[in-house]
Amino acid sequence: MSDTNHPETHGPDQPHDHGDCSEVLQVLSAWIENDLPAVQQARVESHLAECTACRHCADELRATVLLLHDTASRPPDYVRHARLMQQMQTALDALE
Amino acid sequence: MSPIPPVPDDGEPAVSPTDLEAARHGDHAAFTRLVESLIDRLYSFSRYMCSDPEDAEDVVQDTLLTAYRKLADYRGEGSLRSWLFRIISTRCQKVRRRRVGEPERHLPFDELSPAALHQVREGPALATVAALPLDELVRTELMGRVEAAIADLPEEYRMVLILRDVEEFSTAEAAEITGLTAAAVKSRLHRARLTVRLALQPYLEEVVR
Repeated sequence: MSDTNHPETHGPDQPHDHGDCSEVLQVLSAWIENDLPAVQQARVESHLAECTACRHCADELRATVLLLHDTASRPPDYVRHARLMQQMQTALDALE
Repeated sequence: MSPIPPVPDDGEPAVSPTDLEAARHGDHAAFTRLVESLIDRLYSFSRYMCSDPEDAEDVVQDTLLTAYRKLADYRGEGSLRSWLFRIISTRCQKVRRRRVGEPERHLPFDELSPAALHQVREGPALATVAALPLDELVRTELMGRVEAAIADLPEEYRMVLILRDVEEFSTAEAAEITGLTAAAVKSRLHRARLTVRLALQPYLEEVVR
């Protein structure tokens, strides 16, 4: 990944190494799950405190993950559930 | 039909050792109790992985029969849920391979490209829209868009995303189920999440207009 910097969004934010953005964007998913080694987790944290654009991407990834979790909480289709259970019973009975 | 048994907060239905032992000795009722709370999640996974709903039901049945026959192989080291998902992921891949001629899907970008990230930065924020008190219709529509975005992912990314973010398996469990390394799971997951987020962009623009 060679050019994922986004200097235009740093604007009045403090000067920092834009090269860090590429590295940070690669590990954002792991960062939001606190799944990086402590030193790297802290380095990303510190970068996000300075960089609006990367922070925005982190917020968006986090919102995406929450929505994905929500898809599993939709109520099950009880008719289909009953059909699947019935099919399984029939198949198990047929084994004998 | 009895109500669907509740799933504990950690997402893992409790497995009764008595039912497990009885099911290993051919007790159908005990086997039914073991899998009833998992059958809808197995179907959901199968439905995402097979484009055809009938194939999805067949895969669930095939998975459950295989599990019943091989229950002696399940030693209880991992969760029963994880073991069943390992079986069903293999079955889904077999169905996919049967569909000769179906076009391969590819991610719409090769890397975290500047253009892709620009879209995320410049458009409406999902974090803002998702936090709005959306009426039921919009919420349902948004969830439908999320599900369509999942379904559009290439299979190898779709499977990892569903296991990690929909079924909420750990990275280690997803690696075990798919046979991938943990690093490969993490890498595919990140790209899949970003792809889903980008796919929602046109809808978000409609909602905030």
